[in-house]
Amino acid sequence: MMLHKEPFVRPTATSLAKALNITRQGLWKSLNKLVESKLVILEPVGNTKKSAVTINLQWKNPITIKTLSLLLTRESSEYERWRANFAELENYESFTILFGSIIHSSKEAGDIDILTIVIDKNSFKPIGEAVSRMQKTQAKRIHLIDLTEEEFKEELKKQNKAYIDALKKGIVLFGQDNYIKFIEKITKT
Amino acid sequence: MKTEEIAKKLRESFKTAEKDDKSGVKHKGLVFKGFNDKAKGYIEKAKKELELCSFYKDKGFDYKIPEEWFYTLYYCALSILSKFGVDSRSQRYTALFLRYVKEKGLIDYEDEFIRRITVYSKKGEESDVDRREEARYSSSIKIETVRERYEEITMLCKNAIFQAEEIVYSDKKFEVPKELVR
Repeated sequence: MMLHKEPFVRPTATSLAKALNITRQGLWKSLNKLVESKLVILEPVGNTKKSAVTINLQWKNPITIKTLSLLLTRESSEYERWRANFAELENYESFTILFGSIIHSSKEAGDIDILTIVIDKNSFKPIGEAVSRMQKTQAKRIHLIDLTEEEFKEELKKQNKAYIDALKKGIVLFGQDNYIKFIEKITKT
Repeated sequence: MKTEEIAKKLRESFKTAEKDDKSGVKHKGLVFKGFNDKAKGYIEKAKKELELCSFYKDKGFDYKIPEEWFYTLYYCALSILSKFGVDSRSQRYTALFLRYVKEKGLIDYEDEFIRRITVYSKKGEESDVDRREEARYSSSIKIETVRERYEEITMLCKNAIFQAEEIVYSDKKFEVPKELVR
């Protein structure tokens, strides 16, 4: 999951073990299984045998995409409340990410951060109207960011911290398959 | 009313309603129906009621608004009862049940939301039940006090929905206290 949450980072075994808070040995055990299943590919950084390797998703394998989709859908099902609250957005979006403090502490959160990547520019208006309707019954302020895929891609390239964080720590509420396609595209470019 | 008195009334309600239900008579109290998915439906209904308020406000139907406020709070209450697996056909017992489980520390739900749906029979004691009836049956269409308090009560209803959602979507299991159904 971490590999697609930070698409611009090419993690090494050391950095990934640190991020996951596990030993390198433990990580290698899991990595070897993933490599064997062709879900992950290891690419050496240098030319020597002892060169460090970066760990990447094996996009060529359709099972990788299906596995990611299943994991993301499972993760989003744990946020049923927010899926119900924002269900209307599903009609207009390519994918939607819930992020910020609402994920971990709904009571204390000041607002609800939502990042919606629209199907096309015609979707901006109905999404805005839908959110206004939702706000009529929502105690917390809904902070909506709606962008086209191109705009989102540009912001990520510019290393926009808020958007990178949304990818890294957010929950893909809807459009998991579109989200994966998007990540695959930006990883390859 | 003391907690023990509330428990006594609730026990009687469960007992009578169950008896009525089994003998094919429509019950007028609380019945334990088991866990179901109705709670989420009531939350949706509470939201629809609140959405209606802004429609009525825009169209000048002030006298309809207190009714929608009341039902927003009432559907929130029913959603919580459903989470406990309880079916209610009595406003009085709905409020009493919430008060009891709140006093027992089983739910985190503001007293104000419960007080507003409480049925009072003594003169001088009022809640939204009375204000709803007053607005509904009086001859006025425009009501100044409704306009003045619109934002405040709407926010209160939004908070009730939020807190009810916290309960309804929680993974925690909510069970009717044994002393009420033994």
